[in-house]
Amino acid sequence: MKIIAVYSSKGGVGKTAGAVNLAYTASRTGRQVLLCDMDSQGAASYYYRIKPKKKFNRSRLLKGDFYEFIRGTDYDGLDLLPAHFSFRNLDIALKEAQHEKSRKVLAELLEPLKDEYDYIILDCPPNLTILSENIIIAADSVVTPVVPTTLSLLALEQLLKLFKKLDCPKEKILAFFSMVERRKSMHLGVMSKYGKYPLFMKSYVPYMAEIEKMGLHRKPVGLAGSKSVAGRAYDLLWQEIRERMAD
Amino acid sequence: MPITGPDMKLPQEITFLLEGPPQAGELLDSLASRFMVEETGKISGQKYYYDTFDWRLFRKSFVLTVTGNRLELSDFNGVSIGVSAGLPRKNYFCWDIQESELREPLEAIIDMRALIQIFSLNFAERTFRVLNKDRKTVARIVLRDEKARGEGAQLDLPRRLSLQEIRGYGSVFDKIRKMCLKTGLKSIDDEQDLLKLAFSVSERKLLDYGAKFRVDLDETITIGEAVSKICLDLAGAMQINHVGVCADIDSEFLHDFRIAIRRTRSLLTLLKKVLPPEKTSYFQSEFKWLGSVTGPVRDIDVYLLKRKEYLGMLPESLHSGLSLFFDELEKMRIREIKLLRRHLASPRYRTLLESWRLYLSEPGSEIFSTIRKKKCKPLADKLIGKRFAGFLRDGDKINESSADNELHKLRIRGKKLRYLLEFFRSFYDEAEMERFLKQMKRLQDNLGDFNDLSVQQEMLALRLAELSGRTQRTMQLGASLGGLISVLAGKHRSVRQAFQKSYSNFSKTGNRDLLDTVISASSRRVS
Repeated sequence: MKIIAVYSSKGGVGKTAGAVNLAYTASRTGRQVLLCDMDSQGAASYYYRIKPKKKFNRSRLLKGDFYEFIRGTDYDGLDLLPAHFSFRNLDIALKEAQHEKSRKVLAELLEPLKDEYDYIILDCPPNLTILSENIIIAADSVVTPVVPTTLSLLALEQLLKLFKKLDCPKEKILAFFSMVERRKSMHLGVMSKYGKYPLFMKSYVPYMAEIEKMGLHRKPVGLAGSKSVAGRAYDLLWQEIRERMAD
Repeated sequence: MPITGPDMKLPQEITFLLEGPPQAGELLDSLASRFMVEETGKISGQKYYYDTFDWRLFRKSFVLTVTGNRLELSDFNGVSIGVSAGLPRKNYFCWDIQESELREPLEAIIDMRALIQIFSLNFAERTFRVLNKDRKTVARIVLRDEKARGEGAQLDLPRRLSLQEIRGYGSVFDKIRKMCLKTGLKSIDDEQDLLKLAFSVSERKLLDYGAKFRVDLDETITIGEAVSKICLDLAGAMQINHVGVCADIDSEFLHDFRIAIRRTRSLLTLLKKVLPPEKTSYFQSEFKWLGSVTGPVRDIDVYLLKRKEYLGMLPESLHSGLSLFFDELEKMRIREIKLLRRHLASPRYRTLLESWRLYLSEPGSEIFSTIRKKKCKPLADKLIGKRFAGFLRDGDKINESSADNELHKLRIRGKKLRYLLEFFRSFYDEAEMERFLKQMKRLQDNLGDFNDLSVQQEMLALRLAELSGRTQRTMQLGASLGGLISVLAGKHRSVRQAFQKSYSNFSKTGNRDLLDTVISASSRRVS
């Protein structure tokens, strides 16, 4: 089982779209995939039309009593652990956990699922808290979308700092350019300057109405098959993630 | 914070028998009054079912199918074990299938046997999804129509409706299941019966052939009747494998054919004293002939089947030479199989089998007269006792300095004893006899390996001696054969060393007594 966190401390960079579409693409290759919606806003759950069961909440998650709340999506091989409103305070709850272990709680919670899934994909909330630290420690790879702008690069810098603090190998970071608009010279400039760093993958995801409209259709873009340009972009991205993880 | 493993049950699936289209329509109508039901698609196609000639997959509750370009191994309940790309063809070998999650488990079951197409299934499926108010799929329903087609026969399988649970939506599944039961639908607990029904369109009968020898003999059976029953069974094995040998489907048809010959010859030798001398000697010489004409192809097959193993023994630099050796063998095999086919179509072969069957089954046959009217069981007891004592006598004499030849002799004695036990196993306690045979097999395996390694080295050395000239090809071949002989010689030594331990394990008092106990217990039962 490999855990892939789609993470950035910055909001609106295409994390959820990335997690939702990568999870769908991964499941199309016959693998068993679990998408965990860690963001209390529950956008990933919304895209897959899944609501949490009434009895589900943060405290059951932290007690490791959450497996029965995993639900099947409309697609074979793809399950989802929905978000719950109470996840907004996950940070506080994690801090209350025993100090020396507080960073490994998530890793321990996911460990028992190793025989059930080939991939667990985490859709993470945009923050820099102890939850982020948990996510980084639990993940085999941290896939981070970077909009080719200065602010977004700043978020990447913060992530690198956090990796250093946690003494995590920075090779775990797989960055990709997201919401790319090739007509903007700044985007092209940033991509040509930073894209050559090994941290960045070659594949990128363009800014597309098709992705924006996912909220309307509530379906992954890849469902449209080869007709979908965005779907193809996520396919390529997934292929590269798999190759980089295999190295 | 102790975390226990998740109790992640597989989503449930339940299948109901449908009596006709109205019943399915009725159910879908009543579902539509409570849920949104949407038809998501129709698929139809043809599925081909494969198994080996000796039903290796079916015996282990597996099926291999090809649908479109998808090859799939699954269990009787439809749970997929592995998938690979593959088109429908007449036969499949493991090595025809690309490296995949399917190949390894499949290879472990079928080994070198060919997968043969048994029958095909024309299927049509309609899938519906049940939606909640967010238009999220909360259950799936599949309607199935299937028609099995075999050699000239076809059969409509009962129409079915499968209800599939979506993880996390168990309550919806339960509601629909109850509705189905209320509509009067009957669930199928086990799809195995349907599968067996589908298999019935094939001209083959399920489990109609297996390589394991088994003939049930009544304790009161006479010698003549027992010999007739055993030999007719073996003649049947020759006949059933004959087609596969001539069509050259896989190597094991010939292997099983030859085992039947060997068993027949063995029985004739073992019971020589009580069988009509003239006829016995005629059949002995004819079966010897049959053994000798079927030998060359089998000898080549043994090496061809070892291709992967041999390549693994040598460094890659010697692989090309070894490939030349295998190419030679393949060419030789083409010639030899032609010759073999000719022998098996010859009047001599036909006469042998016909006269043999007649001899074994005609009521007035010599086989049922004079001494052969006596009961067989006491003779079997005596023979087994004598053969076992002889085997141990020879085995006990072997020590580390004994000649290789002594081990070969012991192997042949052991083989005859094992055949004898297998012929007459139904006279004795099944479980105890099985236990003894298992112990015996372990020792025989060691002796068999020892013999195989001797024969292989000799054959390779012979080929090496035949090489002449200083061409590139000769050099490559020579280097590979030399390398192989030296690896085999090393193995030969270690198998020889293992013999002493293997034999002392076998000849433990426990085993010596076991056979005595089995025989004497059965004698008490008869008296």
